[in-house]
Amino acid sequence: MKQITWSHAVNEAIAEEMRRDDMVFLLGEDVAEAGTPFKVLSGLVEEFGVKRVVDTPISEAGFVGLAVGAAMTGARPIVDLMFGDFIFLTLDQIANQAAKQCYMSGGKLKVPMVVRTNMGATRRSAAQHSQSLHTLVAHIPGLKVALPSTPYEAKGLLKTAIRDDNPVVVFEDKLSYQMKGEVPEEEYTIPFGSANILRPGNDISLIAASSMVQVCETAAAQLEALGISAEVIDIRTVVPLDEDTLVASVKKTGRAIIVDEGHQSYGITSEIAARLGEKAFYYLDAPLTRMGAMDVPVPFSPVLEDLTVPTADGVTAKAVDLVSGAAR
Amino acid sequence: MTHKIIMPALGMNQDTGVIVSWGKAPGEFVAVGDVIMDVETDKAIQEIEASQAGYLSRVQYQVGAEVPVGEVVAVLTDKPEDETQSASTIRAKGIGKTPQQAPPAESEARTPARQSPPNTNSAMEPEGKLLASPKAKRLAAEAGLDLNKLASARGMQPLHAADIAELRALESAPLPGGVAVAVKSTICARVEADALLEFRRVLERNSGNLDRASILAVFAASALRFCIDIDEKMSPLVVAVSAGSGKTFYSDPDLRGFSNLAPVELTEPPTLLVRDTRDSGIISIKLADDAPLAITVSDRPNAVEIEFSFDEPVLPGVDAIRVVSELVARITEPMRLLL
Repeated sequence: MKQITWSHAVNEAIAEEMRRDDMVFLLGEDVAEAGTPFKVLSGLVEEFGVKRVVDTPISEAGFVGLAVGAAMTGARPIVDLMFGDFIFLTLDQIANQAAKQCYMSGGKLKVPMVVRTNMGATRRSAAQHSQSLHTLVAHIPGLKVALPSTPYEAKGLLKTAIRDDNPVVVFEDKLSYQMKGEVPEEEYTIPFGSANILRPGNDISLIAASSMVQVCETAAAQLEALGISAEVIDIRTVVPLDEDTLVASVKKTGRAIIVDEGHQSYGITSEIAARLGEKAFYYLDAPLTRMGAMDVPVPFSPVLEDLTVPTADGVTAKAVDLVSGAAR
Repeated sequence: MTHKIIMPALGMNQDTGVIVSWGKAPGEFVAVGDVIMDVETDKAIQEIEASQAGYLSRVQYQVGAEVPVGEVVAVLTDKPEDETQSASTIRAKGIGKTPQQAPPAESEARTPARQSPPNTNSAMEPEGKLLASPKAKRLAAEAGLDLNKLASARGMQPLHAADIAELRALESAPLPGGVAVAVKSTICARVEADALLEFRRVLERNSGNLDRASILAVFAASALRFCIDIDEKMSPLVVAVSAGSGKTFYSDPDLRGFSNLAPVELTEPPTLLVRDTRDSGIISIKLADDAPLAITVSDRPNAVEIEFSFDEPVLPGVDAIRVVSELVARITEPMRLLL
């Protein structure tokens, strides 16, 4: 299988879908000539031209609104939102318009729009360019939310998002664009709502999304050395959430740490922990444990910034506490 | 506000430290600068002083424990905590005093409560709640096991699923492995003792030295035989009489007549255990390894109290009630036995 970068995988997904369906088009800041600050979209404007790869002004609310309208009238826009932090500027269009149209029109209108944006700290980008805001959109019914963890996942989930008739927000970790991974030559998609058990285990479930999946895989390897068998699950999509797989895992292991890079309070870790508490209560042998980003603005100081996000060492230490019964 | 006391790193290459002694007992107040514990590393023994004040609580390690650096060994709290768990660990090592300055009246009042089995408070949290994971509780319930027993035996909480195996061993030691644990039911009765005393006086005049417990054994065996079929499997009806520390076995005591009532040599578990708690001050006893049917007889002013505990599979409740009624009738009117 070929090894390609995350950027390349995303580029492939978009190019394949634009070739497959003429109604798919791309818009956003610096998407054409510049190919985004992360160089993810380089080369697309050469193949598809400026009518399908549209550079917009710096006007997030405007071009997301444009995309919602285009989607309602039959196009399949992919909006590039340069930083996840800018989603605050677009929330009226996303939450009040895109998410509601299908419901309010009795199913007559569809909004097959994809918002591609990013998340993740430790890039030294300071408080306004480092947030992980997927919880905000996951809270709004009518929106789907995907959080890929590898180049393979990024491509497969993005293609599913483009083909979905509902608005989907895809959050990519901005530190992952140079990550290399195996991606098949042949066509594939990854269905929404099916979590991926990356590593089976019996003692504790480590449930994560996006780059926290790698954190959990590293922790699981450390735990194995300590004689603790950890199951690592990539949830892939927050909405829809594959609750069954998570519940089955926790029923087996009796313990879980839910790891996410969004702020811990009121975040997806809390939501998942609550659902597990409801559905697997009598199987729990340790407190359900959340590990999210610290509830502080992301610091610019590298030393401090690194302290705010969950790490493999932190997950390992917490898992040891839970499995040994020391946590209470 | 609580302050964690951690195993300090006293040297560059130190991974663990051994607690040589505790300077304070759980529940005792610790002022800033007081020695909390002595810690031994491969180089030296060092006194560890408190940097915060508070009551020593949630002591996690005994003297002699080797603790990883950074591990919480205890915490300092604003108020003394009811700390039975660590207190018992500390006391077991003969160090420290009473963990807290509890008024003596309260600790005395607790003693009898501990003797009554269903509400063992000894290993509970302050609010008397057993701490166990939902999974441990479910597994215990499914297996018919009592987590309180393990909490008392271990003195450590919370309990987890892995502890169930230990509890199973604890509970099923006297039972054949894998057999479902029987649920003991209990019936209590109170009878006036006058007739029994009189009956005993008459017997002693005629048959020599007969103690009260063996008379009760005869009564009990007779009441049991009256109510249920003593089939071949149960025959002979072996009754053990336990008074004080010894046990005396009788075979079919109710069929022999008082003049021929002699103990037999037996070590088998009896069908029926009669326990006489007279003069011991004990109110009630239930032991895991009791015979399937056990009667405890204890004195009350002008009365005798009978507690019949029985395994439901061995004896249905309806029959058990009849057995107790028959026994009461025999104690009230001993002459019925002779008729």
